Amino acid sequence: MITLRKATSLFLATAIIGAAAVPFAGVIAQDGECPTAQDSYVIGFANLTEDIVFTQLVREGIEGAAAEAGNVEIVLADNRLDGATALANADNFIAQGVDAVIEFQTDEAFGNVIMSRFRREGIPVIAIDIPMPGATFFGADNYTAGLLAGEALAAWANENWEGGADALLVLELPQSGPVPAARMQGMIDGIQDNLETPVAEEAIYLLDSKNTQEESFNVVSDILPSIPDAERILAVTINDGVALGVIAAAEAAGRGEQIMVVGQGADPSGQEEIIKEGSRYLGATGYFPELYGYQIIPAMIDILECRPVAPSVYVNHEFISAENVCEFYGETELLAEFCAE
Amino acid sequence: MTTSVREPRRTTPSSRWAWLRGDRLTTINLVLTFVIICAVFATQSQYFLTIENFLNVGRTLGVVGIVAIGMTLVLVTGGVDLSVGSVAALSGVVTSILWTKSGIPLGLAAVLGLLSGTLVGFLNGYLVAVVRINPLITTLASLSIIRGLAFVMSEGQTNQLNNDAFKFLGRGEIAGLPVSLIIMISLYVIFILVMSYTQFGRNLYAIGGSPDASRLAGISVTRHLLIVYTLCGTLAAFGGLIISSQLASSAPRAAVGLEFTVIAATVLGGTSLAGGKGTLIGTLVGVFILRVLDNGLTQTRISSFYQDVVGGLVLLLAVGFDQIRLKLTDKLGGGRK
Amino acid sequence: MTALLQMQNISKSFYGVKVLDDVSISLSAGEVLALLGENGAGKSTLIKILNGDYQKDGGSVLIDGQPTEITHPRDAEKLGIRMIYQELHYAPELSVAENLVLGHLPRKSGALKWMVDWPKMREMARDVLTLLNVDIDPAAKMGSLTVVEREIVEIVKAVSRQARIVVMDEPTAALTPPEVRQLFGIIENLRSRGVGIIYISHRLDEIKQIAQRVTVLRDGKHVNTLPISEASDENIVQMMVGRKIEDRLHVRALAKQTSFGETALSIRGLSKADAFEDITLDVRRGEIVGLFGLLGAGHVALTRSLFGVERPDSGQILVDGAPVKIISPQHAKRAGIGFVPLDRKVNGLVLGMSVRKNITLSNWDKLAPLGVFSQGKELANTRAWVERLGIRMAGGVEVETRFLSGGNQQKVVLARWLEAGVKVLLLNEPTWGVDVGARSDIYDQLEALAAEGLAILMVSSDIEEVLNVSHRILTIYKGRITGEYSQAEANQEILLQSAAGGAQ
Repeated sequence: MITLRKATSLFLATAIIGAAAVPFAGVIAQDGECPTAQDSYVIGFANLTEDIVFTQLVREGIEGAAAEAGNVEIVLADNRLDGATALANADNFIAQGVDAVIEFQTDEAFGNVIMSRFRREGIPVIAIDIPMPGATFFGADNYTAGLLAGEALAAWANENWEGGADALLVLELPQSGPVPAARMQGMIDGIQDNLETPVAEEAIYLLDSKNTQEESFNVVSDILPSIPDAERILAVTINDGVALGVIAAAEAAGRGEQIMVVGQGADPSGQEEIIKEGSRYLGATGYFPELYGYQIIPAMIDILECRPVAPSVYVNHEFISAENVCEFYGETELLAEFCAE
Repeated sequence: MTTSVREPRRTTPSSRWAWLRGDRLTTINLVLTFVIICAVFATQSQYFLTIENFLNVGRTLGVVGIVAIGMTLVLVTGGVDLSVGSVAALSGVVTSILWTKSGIPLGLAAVLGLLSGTLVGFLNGYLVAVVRINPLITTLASLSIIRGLAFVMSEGQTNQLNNDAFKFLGRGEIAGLPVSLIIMISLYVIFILVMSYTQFGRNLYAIGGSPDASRLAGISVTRHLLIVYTLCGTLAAFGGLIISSQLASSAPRAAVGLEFTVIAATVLGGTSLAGGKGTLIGTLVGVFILRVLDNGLTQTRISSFYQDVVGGLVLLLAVGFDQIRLKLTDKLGGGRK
Repeated sequence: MTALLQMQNISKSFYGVKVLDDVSISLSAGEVLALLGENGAGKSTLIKILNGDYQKDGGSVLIDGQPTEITHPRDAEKLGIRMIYQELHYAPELSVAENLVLGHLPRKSGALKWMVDWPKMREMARDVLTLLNVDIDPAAKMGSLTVVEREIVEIVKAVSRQARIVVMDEPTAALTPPEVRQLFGIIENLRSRGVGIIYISHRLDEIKQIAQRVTVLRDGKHVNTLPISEASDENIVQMMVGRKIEDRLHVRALAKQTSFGETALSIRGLSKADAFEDITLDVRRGEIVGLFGLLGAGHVALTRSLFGVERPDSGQILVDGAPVKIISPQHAKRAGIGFVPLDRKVNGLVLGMSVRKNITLSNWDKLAPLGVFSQGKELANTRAWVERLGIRMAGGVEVETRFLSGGNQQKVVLARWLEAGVKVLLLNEPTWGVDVGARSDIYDQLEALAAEGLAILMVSSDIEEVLNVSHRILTIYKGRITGEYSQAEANQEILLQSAAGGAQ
């Protein structure tokens, strides 16, 4: 299972980014009194779905953080990726008399309805990853996450490729809108601002990864023959899977040594690639879904106890590379052998 | 006395061009389309006509090419298999789970991954041929079920399949040619022979042309459909293994939408969705056209959105042109009743 | 008085082949003109030119004496030209009334004009049905009607919208004699209202009843137009085929056969609920047994059961004296039984496949013992059958069977079973929709095949056919055998009576 060794430090570093910011949710303290403050709390958590690993990790983290806080009881629900289900769950929470709610749901239209119910009941809400009107936002800081990866790749190129590159492949996901776009822009900016000689504009190739490994394999396979003279190729990718596709394509074309890749996510499959000997996957920005809870629960307690909380709380991203992967995931089965050395 | 195949055609007076009819003309049109597309790209990108690019196209062709064989067979019988993408993902997931979690040797795990596709194909065939559920509905359901199973088995995770022998399947070369290309071409040769020279192949066309007449001619429609869907599932799983091998990993998300690409290539190659018509040669050219189109458009740095538009247009133009041609020949040839 | 319709000197070629060569016909109001000719004579092309499906190469079309250009079926529709095809086009799940006004549904007035005015629609339907003296419930579902009722609805539909010229293509092909009379009543009604009718049929007896004049085409040329009173069967047939066929009406010289071989097919007490009951019969080698019954008498279901398409409830089937288990067509085939189905276009042939492939379809024992066949051998066998049965087609054995005429299509189906080497052949209505010349040709072939030892059981509701080719005739009524006659004792009257359940 995943180590939570870093939990304490993150707990301390819980984002109170703007101390002066007016909270969007919660009740404002007046004259030192705080009507919502209690000795213990019941907090509802409606998860996006229980079917994928990412959200399972989020749930586990929230449960762990609640246990750590000691005075918080979590009531669980599963939104099943469906707005109507989310609304039913919200009504349920209200009926159960929860003190606060953590919502992870996708449907914007239902978001409004759900929030109006909670507002009426005076129940503060933190929304994960997808903003809801009037709720405190908690989620990924996509641009910063991208920037971290870009900077790391630029630093590597400065050291190993004399501060330059012949081509930059950008494996993006144009059809999915602003979130992946912010990541990509962060990565590109991170490289261009830090590389000693920025990559020439015409040597930047925007490629549609379609979010699948085999598509990124295909497009990179297609583009490589058209840059036969490029011997220093940088690639930035939307996630680990796409990064694996890029590396596979370069290796299959016999040009594995000419490419270096960064990505986003640092999933187990990405970690496994990162720690390979002579890996062409420099690393990926971590999103740490398992640690969401350790930021969300304290923030929620702050809201309930009328301490100021920023309207948007962001994940503390870190760039995970072979050097620091053991700090985060050293106790997982996957990395046990590697980190023991 | 030996009788050559062409001889009877020569005996009718107006048949100097008769060999050009039907399937052959479709194929020739397609090859011309292919050549024109290549010529256009060659003027746009100096790297398009290089050996390296040729090998690259060959390497990235195998998956769609192999799965399209099964799809052609299924479409010829008048059916369809929408589950090929899911099956391809399942075979990779099964292989990697068995290898990494159960400690089964990779070779055996890969065979079992392949057989998982065989099993799904057989079940599809059973539902279509015996229970008689419409193939569209059957395979739409299995598309969803199998994709779900792939997610459940892998817990949504991408798994590495790092093994040099396994990677050889998708990335290796023999005598300078990509292994997957050699396998694909071999499969085409085998299945082209099967489709044109065996009773089995002939029966598939008959079943697609008229299931009732075929049954009344003494063909076991049920058995043929079972075999065809089983083959299609197996070939889809094999395509999935090649994907896994190329990427050295398996992902439950792999090959999403593969069914569309494969059906597009097959239909582009002249196979009728109504059944009874279609050739593997046509399918092969269709696969080449779609791949080269993507390759060339990527190299000429055209936005991927336009690539989708162009792909759709080429499909419409090629099939539409063929339909118009067929209608004309029918009107002229069949008018004298 | 000017003619309602004149088509003058019409010519049309396909691929440089003249399909119509200087053909002229005329039609007066209130007249039924019979258009005759063998398949390929050019009837369909002429009609399609009238309907705007094809464009003529030369000649002119005059309506009420006015030269008219018909370049699209829309034009024909506007001019009041209506086609009634053999295959009916209707929506089986909708009511008769809805089918009648399909495409012209009456709407409510005012603000509700996007809504269908159902009462008005029913009223309109009832009006047209009464006008034509048709007794069909406008609320009945189309699919629940009999074949003739559907056809009548189709006719009513065609004429309800200002029809002036109605073309009927083989309207009686699927009808029983009483139904034909019903149809003729409608035609008479139309005629009395000044509609001109072009009536295409192969059935000379019907034409004599209904038509005033007859026009015969042959090989794309106009042969003759006669008042019906001057047309005899012999001279019409002679005009159609261009040679004398003296054996059309029960004068076929079926070789007097007295001795046959061993019993090839025996049926013992075969029953199937709601289809047939306790059927017992034998067919010997070399014998053609005709099974005559009216539509729905159970004879079609019987042959389907014998071939394993349907399952009988009880009884036994023996081939060459040995009991055989037949639960699928493959079993029947293995037992040496062949089957020529009722609807060759749906059940007999793969229309999009070539003649060669249709003949060798599923016949691989000789051609491909190991599953891989030799094209040369396949071709040789195919051509042997083409020659033997006289299958005629433009373009050789590679032409798709959908381009063949009905008679030649039927021969392809026959050839397949002969290639398979069957001992027993089950025939269903072998000459349905086949023109006269080809009919007699098929009869000759059947006789020759029987003479070589084939046992043939022929099911037919065409009395002439049964009389012409059967050595022995059985009649079936409501699923039971009601009579057995030698060829010598059978005649039209006896058979009809027996097949209608009357005294034997």
